[in-house]
Amino acid sequence: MKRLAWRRLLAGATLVAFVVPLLAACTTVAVPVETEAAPAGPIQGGTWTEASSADGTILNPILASDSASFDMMPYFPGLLGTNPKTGAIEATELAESWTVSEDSLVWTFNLRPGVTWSDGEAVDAHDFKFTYDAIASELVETPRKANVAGIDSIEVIDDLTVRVTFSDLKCDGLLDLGLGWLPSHLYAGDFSDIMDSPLNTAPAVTAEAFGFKEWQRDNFIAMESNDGFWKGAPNMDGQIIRVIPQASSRLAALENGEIDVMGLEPTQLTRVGLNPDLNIFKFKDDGYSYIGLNQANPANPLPGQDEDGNLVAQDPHPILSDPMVRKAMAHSLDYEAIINKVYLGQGYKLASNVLPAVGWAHDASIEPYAYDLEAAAALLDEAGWTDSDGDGVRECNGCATAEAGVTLSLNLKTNAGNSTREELGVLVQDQLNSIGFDIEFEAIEFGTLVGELLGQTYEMVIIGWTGLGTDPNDDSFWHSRFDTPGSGFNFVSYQNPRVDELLELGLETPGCAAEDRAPYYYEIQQIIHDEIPYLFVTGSIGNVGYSNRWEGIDPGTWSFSWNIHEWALTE
Amino acid sequence: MTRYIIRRFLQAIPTLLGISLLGFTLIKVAPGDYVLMTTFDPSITAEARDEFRRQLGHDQPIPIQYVEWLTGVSLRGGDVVDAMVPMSNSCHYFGSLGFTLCDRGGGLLRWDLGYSLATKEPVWDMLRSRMPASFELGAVVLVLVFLFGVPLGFLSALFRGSAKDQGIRLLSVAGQAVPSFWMGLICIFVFSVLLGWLPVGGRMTISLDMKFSLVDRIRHLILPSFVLSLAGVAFLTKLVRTQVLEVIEQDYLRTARAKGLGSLALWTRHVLRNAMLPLATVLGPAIVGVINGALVIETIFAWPGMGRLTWFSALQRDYPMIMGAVMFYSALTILGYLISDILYAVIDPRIRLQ
Amino acid sequence: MTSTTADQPLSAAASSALSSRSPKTFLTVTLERIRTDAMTVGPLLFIVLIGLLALLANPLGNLLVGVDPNRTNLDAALQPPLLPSMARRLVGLDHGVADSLLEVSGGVTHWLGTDSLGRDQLVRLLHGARISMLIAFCAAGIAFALGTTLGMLAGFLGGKVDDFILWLINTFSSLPTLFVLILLTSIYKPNAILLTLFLGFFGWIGAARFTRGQVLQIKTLDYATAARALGASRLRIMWYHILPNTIPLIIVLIMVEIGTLVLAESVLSFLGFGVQAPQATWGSMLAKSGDFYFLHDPTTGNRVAWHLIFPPGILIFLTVLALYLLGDGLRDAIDPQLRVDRQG
Repeated sequence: MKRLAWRRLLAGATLVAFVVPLLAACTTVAVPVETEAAPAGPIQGGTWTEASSADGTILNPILASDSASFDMMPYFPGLLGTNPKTGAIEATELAESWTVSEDSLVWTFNLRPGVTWSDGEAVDAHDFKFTYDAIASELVETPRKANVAGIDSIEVIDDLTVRVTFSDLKCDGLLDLGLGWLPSHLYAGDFSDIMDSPLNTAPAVTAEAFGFKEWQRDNFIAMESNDGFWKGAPNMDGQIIRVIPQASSRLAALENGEIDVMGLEPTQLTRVGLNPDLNIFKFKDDGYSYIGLNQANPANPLPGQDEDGNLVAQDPHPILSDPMVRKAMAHSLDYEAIINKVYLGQGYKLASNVLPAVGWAHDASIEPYAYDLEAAAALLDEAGWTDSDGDGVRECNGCATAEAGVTLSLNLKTNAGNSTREELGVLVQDQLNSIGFDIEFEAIEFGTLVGELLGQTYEMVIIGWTGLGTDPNDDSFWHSRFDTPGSGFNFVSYQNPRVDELLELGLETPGCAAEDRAPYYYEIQQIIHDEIPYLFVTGSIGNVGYSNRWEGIDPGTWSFSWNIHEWALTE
Repeated sequence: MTRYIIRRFLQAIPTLLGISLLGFTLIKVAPGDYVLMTTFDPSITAEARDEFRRQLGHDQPIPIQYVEWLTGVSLRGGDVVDAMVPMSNSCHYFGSLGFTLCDRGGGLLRWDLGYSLATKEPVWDMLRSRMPASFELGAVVLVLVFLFGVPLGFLSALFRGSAKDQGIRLLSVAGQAVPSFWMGLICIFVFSVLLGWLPVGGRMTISLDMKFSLVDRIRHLILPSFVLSLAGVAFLTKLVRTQVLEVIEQDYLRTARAKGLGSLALWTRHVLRNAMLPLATVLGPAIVGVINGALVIETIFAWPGMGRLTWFSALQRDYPMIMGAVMFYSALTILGYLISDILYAVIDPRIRLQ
Repeated sequence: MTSTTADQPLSAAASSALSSRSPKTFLTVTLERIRTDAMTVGPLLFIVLIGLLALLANPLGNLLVGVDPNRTNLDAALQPPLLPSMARRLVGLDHGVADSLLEVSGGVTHWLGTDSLGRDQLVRLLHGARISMLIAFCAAGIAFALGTTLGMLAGFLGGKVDDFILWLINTFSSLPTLFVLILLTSIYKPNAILLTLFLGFFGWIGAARFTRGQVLQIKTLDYATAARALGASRLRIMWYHILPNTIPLIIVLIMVEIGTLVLAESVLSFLGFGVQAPQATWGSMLAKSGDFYFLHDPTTGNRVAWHLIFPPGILIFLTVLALYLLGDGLRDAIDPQLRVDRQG
């Protein structure tokens, strides 16, 4: 579920250091349980124990906004499933099939019959409608209002048929429908009890593999298997998620057998690999780390569009608006060494904005920029940035974007408390300074950094995206519409009418077929690669360490535990 | 005595108000607010964020938010009764003054710490759910501190100037000088990872059908309480030593010694009793010490106490929760100091409370 | 904790120190007493040594290693200390380890090894000492300037001022200081200067309470009354008569406070809110070491980063220990009554 609705900045503060899609509750592809007929069926019983760095806040899918909470509430059924390996949307959850209108605006979903909440009530279209109407209600204070912004209406045709009408065609609009459904029969029809319902801390019913049992705050949450789960009763008795804030304490607990699974830090990999009782699942995560280059003058942030949607000419940044300088930067970072030493090998080189995890839209033919200091120096010389006074820092001598004599001095920021980014900052500073930049690097408080980013008053920033999800659309990073100082996420003030057009075409392709959309995203990737609004440092690789006393674990990039109901103890 | 206690309680009110004002301002002036921290997400539009802020009342000036937190009464310019009614008990528009006054209910003055922004639960409930763990650890630490600090200090004084005295001094100061998180990590590494004797963290072994087991609880308590009590033991050892030495030099003891009072009787009847008197004053500072140290210990040993709750709330800027915790801690400390003073007066008849 | 309750024995100490005036100056007497106490001299020498290392961080680093504390060299990342293998080479036991280390590092002598970015551990420890000490000293300075001033004002002026300052003292001492500091720094993520101010701002209560007590006591003593009768202004009395008499004990309190602040800085770093990268402090180096307990070499399986785990921790421990012992020892030296006791 999380993967569908989830897209946010890698905050990377101490508490959210490692977000792994351990528990994406999007269970998929139920193979009819024929194994039961075999003479020796899977062993019944046992408890699967996970460790989480942070406690959840609230067990209500429309009020929560942190991944720890979503991990702790795999009780709420969803409309659509995701293939755990490919990320494609599939009819593996409550929607058994669907039809789309000619203009792709009206979607009619046929729901799976016979699915019930654990108290016997049917899971039906009313639950779906109730959930989305609740988000829109004035009585409900939630940041998830954007999920319903593009929806024109939701009609219940009958108990098992629901029709969603979107106001505009958006090929990623289905992702907005990914939130878990609330059991509407337990709430007041006017949404008045949602905010302070006791169900927010103790969900009474479940329609998934596990049901809520007990939650001791900051300590653990215990869940019991739901024998009435429509995909088949789980073999295990239940699962527990323990809250262990310290990464090294989590590893110690994994080695002691106190927990069965955890997201691994790169420093822990070798040790886990040497342990015969533990397995590692390595996957290309849906995120990347980059250095954002603000192409507009930080002293004078301007919106990308005026009220009529026309492009607004930006006040260019005296250094970073020069494409040659950006290209020189791209050539002067030793990506290989950075990935090996800072990320301890847990990353991969990246050429542009669409990740290989979104296979159909990723253009693998684009080569990442090579580490080439000579080429970088030549570019800077050519662009008119030379060191005329011999102090090791280049100045503008006939450059295109700044006045003569301006030094190549830039400020680089990142959020404090994330040691990987702090190390990266030190390296980038060191490497850029070696070819004549004068980089000042500082790690500042996350809230302050966010203010400067959105306010567009920074010059260069080390940050990352995570949870980009299964759709290649990332218009909020590039489209000039989102270059709005103070709130928009195109905070590098990137402006390219062709990219704007391509992003719109990709999102509004009639029929939304992958093969029709792919060419647009290929072209976007090439342009972003050439124009370098970001220096793409590395794509994220996730590592999950888990105990081998369980069998049947078949992890995929998009979900680790999609078939958890089939897992069983080996002895 | 009663009058004294009442007066002390009354004196606590301005102190607590001062703390609340200072705390509220510091949280609100800080960069980044709750809404920004939870919605820094490209899929959430600027409008949705503003709407969320307006619903929470976070678009108002800080003094108005403070009054709202303190009294549960909100003030808005213009006639906004209709917009406010769904969130309030009662609203009234004062046409002549041009503002709307709403009673949202709650507020600190009505003995209500409000609701957490992140969990929508009452702040008091959230604090209460962490109290058993916090108090368990705190109580064990206090017991350990007295159990080790008093005898060590006494021995130290008894053998004053000797190698034993110096050894105890060095050991206790050393306990105070180790960074607690380092000590904690090393303890886990040695006793849980290398030796496998003790659990890594947590308050109990967790399973689906948990039964209370004292042995299990104690096993989980050993490492965190040991590390957390180090500083306290050092502090108390030093205090007891000083007290005992002071008592020994008192005239009546010289007299007692001169009279030939046997040394055991002397130590137990006179020295011990009189040296114990000031221990009553340690309670206040001891509570502060436990609160100070608890956060780090809770983090390292995965102990589900109040320190982590407050800290996490601070990271999220969940200000009702932070304020609730700060108010609770302050009240607890003031109470600790008060009990210390009363105990002191009860034990030592020479002291009069006024 | 230590500083707030230490004032009882201390006030007794001050009065006795005053009454036992002798031809020798206070300083010489104190020094004489200290000299005989190994548990004070040792720490004192250690603190002086650390202070010198911190002051000379730059030239020493250049002399011994010759690289900048933030100079990275990814080829030489996580190098083990050169010192043991060099020592073995000197006695002819080394089989090329030292040479291969030097070859990888490009001839730079990483005596205590390097961190994960190839930065020299020794140079960073030296520079870390400087920042850590600077922060602790400055914060203690601020705390005591603030505390002494407020305490003196309260004690000397009395009345409303005293009431207000006493209220301030009570309010601040009902706060769990370290805890509040953690909350504050986690919200503000301060830079080094702001952190120093924060630490100083929350450390003044002990000094204020102590000074106030002292002033109240001294005010009634004969010479203060005499000075007053002679028409000396309040300020003059405070400056010339009261301050000099409280300073020795304040120095003791400062020692202990500095130790506490060094610890506080390391705890804040551990939680991620200390001095910001790339600046090295002992606290941030120790905090980072938590990542290295489980770091193994992929080829040999050996643990590779012991040299990053222990040196910063041991340095913090020894420095704080020395400061606390020194504070203890100095107090005993200043307070003759206790000194008599200690020697039985």
